[in-house]
Amino acid sequence: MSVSHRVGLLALGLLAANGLVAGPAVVWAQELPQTDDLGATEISMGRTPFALQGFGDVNYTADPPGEEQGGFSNGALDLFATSRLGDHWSALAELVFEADGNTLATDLERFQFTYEHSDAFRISAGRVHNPFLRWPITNHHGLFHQTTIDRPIIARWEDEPGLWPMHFVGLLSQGRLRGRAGLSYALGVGNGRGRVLDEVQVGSDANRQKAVVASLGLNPDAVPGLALYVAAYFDRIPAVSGSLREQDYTGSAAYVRGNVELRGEWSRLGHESVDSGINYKTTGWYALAAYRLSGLGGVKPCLLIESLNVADDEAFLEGAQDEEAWALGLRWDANRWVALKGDYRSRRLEGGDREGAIRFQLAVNF
Amino acid sequence: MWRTARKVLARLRTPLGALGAFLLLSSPAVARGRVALIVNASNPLSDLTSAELRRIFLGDETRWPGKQKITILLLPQGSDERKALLKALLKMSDDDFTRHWISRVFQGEATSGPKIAPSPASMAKLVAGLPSAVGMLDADDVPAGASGLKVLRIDGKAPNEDGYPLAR
Repeated sequence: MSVSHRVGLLALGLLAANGLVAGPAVVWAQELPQTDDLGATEISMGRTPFALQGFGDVNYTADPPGEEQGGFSNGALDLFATSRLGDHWSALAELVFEADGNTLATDLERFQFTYEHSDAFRISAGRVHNPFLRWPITNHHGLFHQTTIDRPIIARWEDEPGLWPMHFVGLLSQGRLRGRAGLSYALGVGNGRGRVLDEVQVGSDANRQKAVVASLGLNPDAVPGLALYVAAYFDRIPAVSGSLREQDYTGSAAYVRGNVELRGEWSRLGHESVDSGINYKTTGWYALAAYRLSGLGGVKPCLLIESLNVADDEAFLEGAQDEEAWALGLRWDANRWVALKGDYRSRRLEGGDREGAIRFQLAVNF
Repeated sequence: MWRTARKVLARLRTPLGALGAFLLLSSPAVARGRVALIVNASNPLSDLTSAELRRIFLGDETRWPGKQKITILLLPQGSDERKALLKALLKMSDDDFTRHWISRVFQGEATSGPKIAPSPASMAKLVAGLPSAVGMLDADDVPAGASGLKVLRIDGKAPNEDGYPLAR
């Protein structure tokens, strides 16, 4: 059992214990009843405002390409807890159970404590989502939040496997400055990537160089719904295949207002071998357009187009392939907690033929 | 409109009520169904822009200038005032608004969403008692001379002035 699994199970135990005391909903601290005739009350221990939510999804793929047969698949069960610890402090934990082949894996995806001084400055410590790409920061692990069935290729989590650094353990400062530009920032320092692509260094860092991430965002008052972001990420990767300097850059734009949802993001991973000086550049992008049809029960057609171009011969990304894909789909919200999605996704992997599949997803928030 | 009509009919039952009904009908705030945003009387702010309100109701700004955490109070789902506020200010349906706040909590940018006041009377009482609160009422439901409450001007306009942005 990995460290993350052990920590995950411990956190689940704590969540379950707290849930049994507090119930599966937002529960506010209450004064305990009087315990004696003098009107004394017990000291309240460990009972803080606590909220527990879940997200989950079940999927069905009809006629997938290749040797696979169509069928059902368990998506992820995402348990998410927050607790307000006074006026300035809060805690957050996100625990995900997901299918790993035909077994179940558990991951503590986020576990962070935050001090919020003001809207302009808050700082979190722990395992956080890297604020480098916008998609994972907007949707995190709950597929209920996103319009499409899939995450874009560049926004896949490390263990899916994805190529981008999505988590790190360390400190993350974020804030939003007052003003018409809606300027926001994030600045983080953490352990960064491990020796292999999907390793998040939870317990210790294999080298002295820390990963640094910085982002700037604009949400101008003049165009409500518009969000623009740029971000950069730097690290020294202690890769098994040889130490790498990492320099990644991202630019993104989104416009979400009323029935309209438009999102686009471009990102480049840059890895330079410390030994040989060889540069490897991997780029990826996606564009999403969706529009809710108010007159048709709120059905939301969407089109996602995406591309990944992997650096040739980079050992650290071994197994990754160029990929081009598009998905044309529909999302329908049965109510505010239940979403049904269906799409046809077509993709072409490096050197292969184009292949497609019809998929369905039931995504819920409970 | 039905709400206003019901109020007018109710007031026509007595001579004094008839006078009230006349004043009600002649009031631009009632005729146009304005939503008043109210804060505690101790709040130093008296005028906010639509953009500032949008940021507050979307959770982008969570503290008043004095750093006190903002408590957002809404009337129950389905109320005319709530629908008007979400449509005019945020261009959102009620479900979108709820999902937005679930998402804010999930993103770690909030620990809870807005609170619900079950009725206009409880809304007025809660805002009057909570220095951090911002709430909403039909402009006609704001108790006359109510102590403890302050009606915000939005973009420099009071609810009974032309150009007030939160009209139903």
